[in-house]
Amino acid sequence: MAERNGTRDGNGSVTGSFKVKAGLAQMLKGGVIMDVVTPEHARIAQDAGACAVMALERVPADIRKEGGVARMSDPDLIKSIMAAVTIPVMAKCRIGHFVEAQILEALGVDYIDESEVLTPADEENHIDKHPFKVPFVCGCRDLGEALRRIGEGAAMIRTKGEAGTGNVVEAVRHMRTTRSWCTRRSRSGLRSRCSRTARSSAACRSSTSRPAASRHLPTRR
Amino acid sequence: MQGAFEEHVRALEGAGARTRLVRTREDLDGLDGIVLPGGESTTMTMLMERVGLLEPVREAIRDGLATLATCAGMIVLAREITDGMAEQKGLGLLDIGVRRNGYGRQLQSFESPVQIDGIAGEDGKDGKEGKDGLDFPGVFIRSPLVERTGDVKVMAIHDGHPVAVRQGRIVALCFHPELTSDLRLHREFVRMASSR
Repeated sequence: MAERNGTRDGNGSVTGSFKVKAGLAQMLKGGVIMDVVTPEHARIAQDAGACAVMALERVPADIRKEGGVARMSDPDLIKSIMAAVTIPVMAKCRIGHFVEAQILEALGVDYIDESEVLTPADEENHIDKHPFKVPFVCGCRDLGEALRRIGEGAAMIRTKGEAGTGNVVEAVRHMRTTRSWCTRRSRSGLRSRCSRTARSSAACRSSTSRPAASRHLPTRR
Repeated sequence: MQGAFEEHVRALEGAGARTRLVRTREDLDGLDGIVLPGGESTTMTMLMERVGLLEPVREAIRDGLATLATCAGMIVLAREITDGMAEQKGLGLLDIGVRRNGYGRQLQSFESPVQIDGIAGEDGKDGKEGKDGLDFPGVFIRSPLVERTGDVKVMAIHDGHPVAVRQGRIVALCFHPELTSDLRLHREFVRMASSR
């Protein structure tokens, strides 16, 4: 486990710092992150130009349909997807389920989505994400939620939306709300460091999540 | 096309340059220099090919367009790519061999100071001198590993491998100066681009 802002090794390098975590999010801008459930899907996504894949056991629409408890994906499945592609691989863990997050970190995934799509493990608290070396992305409905997640250590922010319904208006509403609060904050001259972070992270995710519709692959959220 | 172009725009404008996002062939007209940003090299080359930019960009750079390539941009430029996708097409202009994600996955991404030839600690202008004057803050994110260098000038080495190379008017870096507030490399690039 890393310290709050990365671990220093012998030759002066630091791993797991916030800069490196948010940096990967910055590299994903303008790209599409595709939900995949098999290594074959992952390869199709990569061949189609996806900039990352989200390794899942079931896509959100199926999770909704089937009900029951939705948990982290099978580690074997995640490993096989990681072996299938060269682009970054993300995986979801339940909200507040830090042990699932530790497992995902040990597997070596490139990003963890602490996701409301899965059944929450803790209704009070999210994971304390600072001690992890792997970066986290979290959902938000407005700037307040975004800032709480960033405060807990999230390196990328996405909108929540209503996953798996096909109804994108929720995601659009959350994006509009978050961005308008950011604009209002910056106009009123309260340009705190936090709101800047939120703005750039939220901006990032807006560009990555929007064009995710595809006929061949399950769509994102 | 895809990646951290916004950060480069900010850095270049901070270095006094005017910028334009290159998305079509026409955008290339009248440029003094071009930046190939970080991102996913597979995505970028695919998009460039699809919109018909791969060839025009290759020609422009071959004809001496000043070029700054970071991370994925370096892979796009490299002559040999290992661990890429089968049939990953690049520009093949820079005489180096790179291994994609050669330093490992995100968990192995790191920050480390880098000493760069020709970039001295002369950034006194806005008082932001690097911590010990000479070092440049290197941010490496799923960075490519340079395994072979041909006819290029190595500007910086980290852990025995080149991390910054120059070939004519091309500068390619494994790390991301655009993610830092240190504008020395971007200033140097603007200087190079405007002195033609």
